[in-house]
Amino acid sequence: MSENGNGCRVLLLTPPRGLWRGRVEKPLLWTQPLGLAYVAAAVRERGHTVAILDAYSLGIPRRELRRHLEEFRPRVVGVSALTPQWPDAEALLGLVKELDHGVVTVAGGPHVSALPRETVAKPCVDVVVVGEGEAVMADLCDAVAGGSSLEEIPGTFVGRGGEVTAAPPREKNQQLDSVPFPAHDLLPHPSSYNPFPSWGTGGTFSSIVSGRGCPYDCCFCEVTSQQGKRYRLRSADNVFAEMEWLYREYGVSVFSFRDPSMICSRRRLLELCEAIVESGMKIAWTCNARANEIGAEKLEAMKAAGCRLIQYGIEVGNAEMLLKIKRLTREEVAEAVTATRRAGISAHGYFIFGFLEDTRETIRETMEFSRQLDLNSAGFATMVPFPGTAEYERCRSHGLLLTDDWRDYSVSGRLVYRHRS
Amino acid sequence: MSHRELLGALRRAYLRFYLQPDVLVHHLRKFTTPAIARNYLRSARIIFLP
Repeated sequence: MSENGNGCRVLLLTPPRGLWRGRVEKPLLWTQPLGLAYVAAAVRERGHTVAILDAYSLGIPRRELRRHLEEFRPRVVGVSALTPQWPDAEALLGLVKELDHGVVTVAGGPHVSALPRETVAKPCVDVVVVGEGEAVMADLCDAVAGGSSLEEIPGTFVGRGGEVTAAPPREKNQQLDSVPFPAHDLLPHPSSYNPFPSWGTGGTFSSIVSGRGCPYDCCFCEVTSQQGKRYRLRSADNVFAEMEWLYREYGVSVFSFRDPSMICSRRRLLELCEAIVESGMKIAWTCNARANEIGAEKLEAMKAAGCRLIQYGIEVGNAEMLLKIKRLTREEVAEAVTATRRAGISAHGYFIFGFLEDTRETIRETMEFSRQLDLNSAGFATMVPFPGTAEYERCRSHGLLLTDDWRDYSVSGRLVYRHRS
Repeated sequence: MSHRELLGALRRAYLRFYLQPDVLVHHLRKFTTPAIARNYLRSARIIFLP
């Protein structure tokens, strides 16, 4: 935690699961809230006093939250939430306002970025940060500390007395190497996190992000609407420096790259793999990849550098739907999976049931395709039209959404849209 | 298609991919503890667990 006489006290939180109903549960699986850790590092760099309370991972109940808030006495509270977490986030921000109405409450993350006006209209939310939060939040904290207006900061929606002020959008940072590493020192030690089994086990774990944006704009994914249609990549040196820092400082030996496709740049991938091999670090890592971007040269380098699992978003088995939804052919997918296995790397496939185009027959094709491929493992989920995705807009414009109770917008929740077939 | 139908399809997909529940549970146990594997499957509404 940094201290500076001119800065303000900023508390960043993840919402504990079940807070909305007054019974908090600790999740079974949890990973570092990297978004908040990135924001914390950027805000701290401006001289503010920052703390992160990962209340979701730690399962912190209401009375404990209250104690933390009373002890820390923040002037700014920021909460980041995914769609099904939003009711808990709202309850959390309500608690903040209940304790001190003068605290500036800020909501961020993909859900509120997709629905900024609706969110900032809530009495417990003062500001919504749209998109990437580092620079916006840092400017916001500067404004709070300096007593200046919050309403002209690009990338924000500010609510005041029922009025909403939308500032211009924030330009996306094209120089990701300039972004400070996530503030892991403000989070629980990496060894206390418990990631999804397929993301990595067998050592101290950390997620890592090597780039932002995605040109493929899949209809069920909000990455493009949040991060833009261009890949913006950190350099191999910058990514390696973060990995080495986590390895030496925190003993992290298992990494999961959470980018949509960290393999998209051949040169950068080969440089990164070479740096890992030369360093002698004993690490394992997993990543997402697009089937049309993989190849023998990349796979060989990845295997040598410790890659043990590649997760492919395949989604459907029907050839037409695959081309439309993922811009992939069945042959590309099959070749990628086979090449991955041949390189000695495990291949995991993600599949989704319930696209609006899906019929009983296409779902059967998806099942068959998953079995025809030489995958080590597969995950199947029902389609959820998350706000910020094209599928959400399509369901909404056709009057197919059944609820706006965000708790149900989870792959294990009930169906939130009316399927046409 | 109803939610019930989609969940049924999910269940069949897991069963067909992993051939039998034990194989799936075994697969998950390689990565995690039996308790987490069971809960993981329950949270995904995979209801055929032994």
